Order: sequence, then C-alpha cells, then structure tokens
Amino acid sequence: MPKVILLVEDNPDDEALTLRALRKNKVANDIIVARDGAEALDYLFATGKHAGRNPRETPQVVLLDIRLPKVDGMEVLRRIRHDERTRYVPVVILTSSKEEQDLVNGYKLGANSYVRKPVDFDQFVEAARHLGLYWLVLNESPPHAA
Amino acid sequence: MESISASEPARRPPRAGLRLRSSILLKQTAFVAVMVVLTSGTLILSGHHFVRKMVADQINQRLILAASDRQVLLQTYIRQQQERIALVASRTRLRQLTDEYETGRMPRDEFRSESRRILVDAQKSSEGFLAISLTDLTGLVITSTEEGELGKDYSADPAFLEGRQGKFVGLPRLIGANYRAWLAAPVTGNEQRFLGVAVVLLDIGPMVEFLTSTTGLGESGEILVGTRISDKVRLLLPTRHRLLTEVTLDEEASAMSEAIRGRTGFVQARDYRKVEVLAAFRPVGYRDWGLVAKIDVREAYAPLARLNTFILILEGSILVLGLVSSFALAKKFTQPILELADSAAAVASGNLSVRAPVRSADELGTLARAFNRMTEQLASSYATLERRVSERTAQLEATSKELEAFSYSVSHDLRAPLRAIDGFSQIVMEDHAPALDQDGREHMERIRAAAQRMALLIDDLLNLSRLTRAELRREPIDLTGLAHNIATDLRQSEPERKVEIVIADGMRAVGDPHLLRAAIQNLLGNAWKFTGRRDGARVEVGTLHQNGERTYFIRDNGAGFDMSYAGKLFGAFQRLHGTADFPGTGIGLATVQRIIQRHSGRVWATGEVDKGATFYFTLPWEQASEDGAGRNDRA
Repeated sequence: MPKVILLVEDNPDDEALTLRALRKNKVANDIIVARDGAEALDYLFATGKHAGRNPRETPQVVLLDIRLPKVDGMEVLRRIRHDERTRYVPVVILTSSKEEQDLVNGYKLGANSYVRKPVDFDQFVEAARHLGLYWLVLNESPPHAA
Repeated sequence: MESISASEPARRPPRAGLRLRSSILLKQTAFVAVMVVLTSGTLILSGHHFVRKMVADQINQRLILAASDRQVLLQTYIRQQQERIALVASRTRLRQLTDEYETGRMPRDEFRSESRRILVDAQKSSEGFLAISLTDLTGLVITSTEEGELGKDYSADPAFLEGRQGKFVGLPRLIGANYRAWLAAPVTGNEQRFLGVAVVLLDIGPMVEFLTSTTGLGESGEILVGTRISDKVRLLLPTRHRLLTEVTLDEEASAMSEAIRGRTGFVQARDYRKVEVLAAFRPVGYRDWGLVAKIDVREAYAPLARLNTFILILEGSILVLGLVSSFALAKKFTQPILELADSAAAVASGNLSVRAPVRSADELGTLARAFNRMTEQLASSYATLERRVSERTAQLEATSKELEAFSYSVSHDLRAPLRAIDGFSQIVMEDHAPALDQDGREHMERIRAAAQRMALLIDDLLNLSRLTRAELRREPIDLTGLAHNIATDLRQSEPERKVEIVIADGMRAVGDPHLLRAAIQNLLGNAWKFTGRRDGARVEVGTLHQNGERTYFIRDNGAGFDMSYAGKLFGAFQRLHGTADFPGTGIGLATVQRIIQRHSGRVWATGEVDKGATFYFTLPWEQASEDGAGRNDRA
C-alpha cells in the first residue's frame, strides 16, 4: 500500500485540475485534500477531525499552496519543519505566485521544491508528470523513526 | 530616514593666516603700535628739543659767566699792576736822583747806590716784583735791584718802547718753569720831562694759575686768553690739553679772533684740537687781548646724551608694551569672532546643537546671541522638516506596501481563474470531443488562447510594476557585448531567419545591468520581430553624438510605424500592429521607457511605415561615471 499524497489547495478548480493532472500521469497513491492550512495541520498531526490517525504515517509528499485561508502555506511549512515527526516529509510548493520573495521564503523554510502552476493546462500536466516521477518514484523517503 | 547630524567629522574651513591683510588682530595691533609710536615719538622729540635748548642755555650762561668773571679779574689785575708800576715810577726821590744823574749833577756810583736802595725798598713793599730796573732815555739800564741787569739794552724791547708811552703790562712769558711778565712805566722829571723807563719783572704765576683754573668748567672746559701777533694769534696762557702758545689765525677758533676784534658772543665751533666746542668770547679790555671760555660739546651735552639713552629705552618700552597690550586687546576682541566663525562652520557641517559662547554684553555678545537664536530657529525648522519627511516617507512606504500587496494579489488570484478556464476547456475537449462539432472545438481553442494571452498580459504587467519598484544599481556595462548576447539568443530562437545584425564596437555605459539588458532585449527583440517579413532584414545598433550628448540607437528596416502615432508608442498596452501580424502584449516599449527614465535618460523613436524604425535613447550616467564607476546608488 503506497503512502498518501497530501494536497493542500483551497481552490476547487485548481484541486480538480491538479487531481486530473496527477491521475493522467498514473499516480496511484491515495490523495488526501486539505482545503486550508488548519485542515492540513490537523491531518499531519492527527488533531481535530483527523484525531485518531497515526501521525507517524506521514504522506509521501505534501503539495502545498501558499495562499490559504486560516493558516497560510508558509506557516504550514514552518510547522511541518518544526515538528520532529514531519521534519523530513518532502514538501513541494505549488503556487501561482511568481514573486521572488515567495520563492526565497519557501526554500528558506525548508521547501524541497517550488513549482509554479502554469495557466496552460498542458504545461501543468507536464509539470505534474515531473513531480510524480521525482517525488513518488525516484526519491527515497527517510525512515519513519528518524 | 538618514540624519544629517554630524555623521562625518565637522570640517573646519581653513582659518585665514596671520597676515596683515587678512587679520583684524594684526591690523588693530599695527594701528595701536603706530599711534603709540607717533604720539610718544612726537612728545619725546619735542621734549628732547626743549631739554636740549635748556641745556644749551645753561651751558651758555655758565660759559658767559665764567668768561665775564675772568675778564673782570684780568682787567682788575692789569689795572693793579699798572698802578703798582706807576707807583714805583713816580717815587719823588727816584725821579730827583735820575734827573740829577742824567743832567750830570750826580756821579754814577752815588746814583746807583742811592737809587738801588730806593728800588730795593720798593721791591720789598711790592709782592711779586722780582726785579726793578731803570733805563735812561735810550733804553740802557742805569740802575737795578739786580747787578746783572746794569748796562742791559732795552731799546728794542716792547717794555721800553711801550713803557715810554705810558703804563705797560707785557705779555706773559714762560721763563724756565715760571710765568713772568714785564711791567713798565715812564719816569719823568719836572714839567713831565722824560727821563727813562721803570721796568719790572713780575711773577704772574698766581694769576696764571688762577686764570687757568678750570673750576666750574667740568672735564674739558678751559679759559683761553690770546692776542694778535702780526697774522698769528698768540695764546697767552697755558692750554689745558696741550702745551701750545701760538696758532695761526685761520686755524684758530673763530671765537678768539672775534674776541680779539673786540666782539662779545657765543659760538659753537672747532677749537685748536679740532674738537667741537661751545665757546663764549669777549675782549679783555686791555689792548687787543681776547678771552674765550669754552667747553667740549660732547661734555656740554653729556646730560642730553644720557637723556637720549633714557628716551630710547623709554620709547622702546612704550612700543613693546603698546604692541603687547594692543595685541592682547585685539585678541580679546577677535576671539569671540573666531569662536563665532567656528560655530558657524560647525552649523554648516550639520551640527545644529552648537551654540556660540556669549562672553560679553557688547556688540559681539549681541552678535553671538543673534547667531544662537538663528541656529535655534534653524534647528527647530530642520526638526520640523525632518519630521515631515519621515511622515511622508512612512506614507510612501505604506503606499508602496499596498502596491506590492496588490501586485501579489493580481499575480496569484487573477491567474487561478485563467488556469481553470484553460484547464477545463482542455478537459471538455478531451472528455467531450464527440459532442462537439468542428466549430465547438474551434471556440474552445479560442477560449484557451484568450486565457493564455491574458496570463501573458498579467505577467508583463507585473514585470512593468516590478521595474518601477526595483532597486537600481549603478555599474559599468559593456553594451556592445550585451547586444551581441541578445542577438545570439534571437538567432537561436529562430535559426531559419536571416537577419544582418550590425553592432558598433566599444559601446560602454553605466546603469543597472539587469534593467538595461531588459531594455535592449525589448528593443532588439522588436527590431527582430518587425523585420520578420522583410527580405534582407537589417538591424543596426550604434551611437551618435547629438547636442553634445551620446545617443544610442537601434535601427531596423522592418515594418516601421506611422509617425503620427509616435506619441502612443511608449504607452502600456498600446499596439500599432495587429497581434495576428506581430504577436505581443504592447508592454515592451512601456518597459523600455520606464527603464531609461529611471536611468535619467530619454527615449524616442522615428519611423516610416514599411521603411523601418529607429529607437534612440540616452544614458546620462555615463558622463558622471568616468571617475566613479562601480558605485551603488539608490535611484
């Protein structure tokens, strides 16, 4: 049973397009969708409506939007990196922003990759293919007990 | 907000050197010194003159007194001797004896012994008579107190010659070491018959001693008595300084000549020693004898010389004292001025907290207080200004932040719907292709193209806004190399196109490398783009000098433009060509203009439809860069 992918995305359109792009690339993992930062944290740390989940079972990769309701993406990233249970979870920032500041901040906080969502859907699909190839197939996850 | 307050050490302007022209201190000192020297000098000179006159008068009085004193003494003495010889000559018994002897009534031996007794008697009663003799009518001595005198011939002697006429006192003579003088008087018988001459050798030592006494005449003063012997002046008494009895007239001090001529007066002249003397002269009152009382000028004015020395020292002291005190006074005056100048210099260099010291209640104090009020005023208005500037800056920063937030929002939020439009159009085409006819598919493609074009516009708009905000660097840039790079990129993007690109060598400028690259990329890209339909396309990059200003240009022979639309060229989203002909968002030239403007330059264009276009721009920083390349400045 492959690990899940956590997609943090508040825009339903983007969510649908992302899911489609991943599926088109034959990504078989379960995809959990969190619609804001707080929900993402609930899932990761097994709180709120995700209480009872084993927080040691980390996602294969977190696809994180920056502009999110309640808790924004940068804060989510910071919390992931500050908790020893999730410290080594790969986080890919997936955003519309082209601002250099966001890119710099993202990497500074420990993002593993930074992908700008292209408007052209064909390019989006291509980007998702690269994502899947790298983070789901090639990359070796750190051991759980780390 | 940067504060101007003395961040760098206050530079003090070089103070004027101590030169008379540039220093009040020296001017005042010099002025006081001149005044002191002039007044004290005038006072001292007039005082000196007055004293000299006083001293001269005093000397004059003293000499005249001495002269007249000696004159009276000499006159009295001469008269006494005349009377004494007359007394001897008029002895009745002597006259009788002589008369008897000369008329042969008395033998010679008897006459001699008789008369000798009388003469010896007379000699005893007359002090100083060394010898008394009696001559006959011819001048032969017929009787005498001294045996040796008998028979001596006086016929040629002045004593006999003068004595015949009357009472005679001869010139003093130095005999051995003693001064002697002859006295003579006629001896007469009855009815004044001339019988002979009584001749007396007189010891005048005491008189000479008395006359030549220099009491009251100081170190160099003396009394001279003289008479004329033919053309010579004979000094009758020993001189004080040299044993000298005879001088020639022309050589002689004019004083004695004048005295001999019977004149009385006072003169400054040279004496027999050729020494400058002051002399009072007057006749003795006996024959042509003259008398001079004189004293060396040097001695006479010795008090004056001492006075001169004293005056010199006094004037020197006054000068030094005056200089020192006026220098001190001037320093006291100029010190506050210099302090004020220092304070002003400190204010000029940005230190508004300095205050000039107020040391007095006079005009300088008033000036210092006024200066301090001015500085306070300056400080308060400066503070107000600074507060306003920082308020404005804060406002500006707030606005800028808002703008950034806005751009961010645009970048993020406007793109999401576009992505949805594009994405779902694609999904429709993929999933529902059979339900769409050819028109439907075409429309869906148009939707997608529109969405993607909108995304491009948004990106360009964001780029433009970023250009406006980005910090500007100032570095030397090799424009030639930059243009070559861009040209290479363009050729690689469309390798099938044949465009001749000519780039001038050695183009250098100063500016922000990133922005200037963007500007040239836009301009060259335009030239590349608009020559797309031209055979023998040619693009030229170069410089030319216009109005003393270096101007860069990029010229093409492409589609060109209508000059009547030149004003719209550089507006954002303005396009003079259809997208179908030449793709683009219309933001490129607006970007170029922003970049050139931020470099303080100008950009403009000329063109003609289907002939081509030339874009010009200037970069004024290049001139200023010659010496200061590589500095980073805030735009």
